[in-house]
Amino acid sequence: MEQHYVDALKTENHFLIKELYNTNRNAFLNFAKQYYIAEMDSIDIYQEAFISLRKHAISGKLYDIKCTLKTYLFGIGKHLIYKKIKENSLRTNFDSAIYKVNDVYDEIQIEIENELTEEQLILQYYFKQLGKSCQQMLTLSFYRGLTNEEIATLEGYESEAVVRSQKSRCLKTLRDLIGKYPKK
Amino acid sequence: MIDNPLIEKYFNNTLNEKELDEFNSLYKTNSNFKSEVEFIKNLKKVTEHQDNENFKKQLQSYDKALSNKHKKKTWLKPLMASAAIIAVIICISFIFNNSINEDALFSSYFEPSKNVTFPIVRSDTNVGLQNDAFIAYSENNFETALNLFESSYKNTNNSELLFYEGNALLALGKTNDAILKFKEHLNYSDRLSNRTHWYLALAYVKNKDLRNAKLQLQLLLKSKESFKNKETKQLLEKIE
Repeated sequence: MEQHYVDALKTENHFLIKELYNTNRNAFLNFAKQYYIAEMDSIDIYQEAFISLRKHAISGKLYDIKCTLKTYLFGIGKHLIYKKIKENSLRTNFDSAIYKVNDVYDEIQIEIENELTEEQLILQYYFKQLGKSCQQMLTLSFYRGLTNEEIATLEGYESEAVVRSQKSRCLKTLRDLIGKYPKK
Repeated sequence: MIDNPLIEKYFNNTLNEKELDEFNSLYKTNSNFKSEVEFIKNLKKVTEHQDNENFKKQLQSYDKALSNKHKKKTWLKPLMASAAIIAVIICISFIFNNSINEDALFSSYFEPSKNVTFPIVRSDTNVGLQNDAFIAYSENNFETALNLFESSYKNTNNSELLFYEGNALLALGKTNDAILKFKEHLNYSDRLSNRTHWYLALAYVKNKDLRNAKLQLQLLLKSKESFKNKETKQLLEKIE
């Protein structure tokens, strides 16, 4: 497993992420061609697969897999390609069985992303009013599950205590916004 | 607020068995505690959603850059074959003369510094030049950021802005200008002065000036600054 790419996905190292994205992009588009997927859709599928790959990096799943990142990424992509074919076949009555292609990639199932609830959509509205640094702080802390020490190192804060107080300020600002301007 | 450390630990997955019992019991019996946990749960979902949306935009920008590059390249096709031959010759002589690939080193280590100076505010009302500069900078809009940093520096004389100007220049590939800017920043002693050694070293690596790069990395180590300490030692080893 290419550990440095997994770390890059977790810590937002844009240069390595871009390298990983660009390295596999054309190969994936060629792979998707076998399924007669239009190029615009293939790009969309590739990006969705890449987003899932990052989710699995963040959740720690990628540390347990035995194959290469490319195989894993293409496995997710294959799942999304089948999903796309299924969607298309609903519209055109097309038999997707004829699309079965022999290749080396095993399909990897991914969880379906739930839409935000109404309560979460309201919270999202206020979250977007926060400054970029607060958004980043709360994202690193709650979605990425980083400790205050890890955030201090990653974002260049002086200490864990600075992160703690900054995070507390951000949460207070968010609550103040919700209290001050209740969304109708 | 997350005054209760159990909540923070719960979201970092670091509760031990005893703490988990305590957490569950509080969740069942204390309505304030429960609503705080639910609030953070929702916030977690929102941050995940937002983070994925931002990441998608980032991926789309890679694609856009690729298609622009492709468009620019089409008229170059007749020149490609001869260029390729020259490139191979250069590569061969490069491999024999020097085993360090400075461009690859630069790419794997350089990432524009995060904004650690100025907490930005997103608002419809005008909250200042510096705020706009950091918004542009955080969105990787380095050309705009650079102009705004320059104007803001003229108004405020805040030397830390030179550090971000240098970073923006380096990200734009204007390495020589970045070097001058970082050197200018080193005339001041502010919270970011030691960090400038790291970015100045990377600029020198990009310019294949490894002697000066080493010097800057050594200065950073001597400063006892913890910033990029591991990477500094690694890079020094690689270029020595």
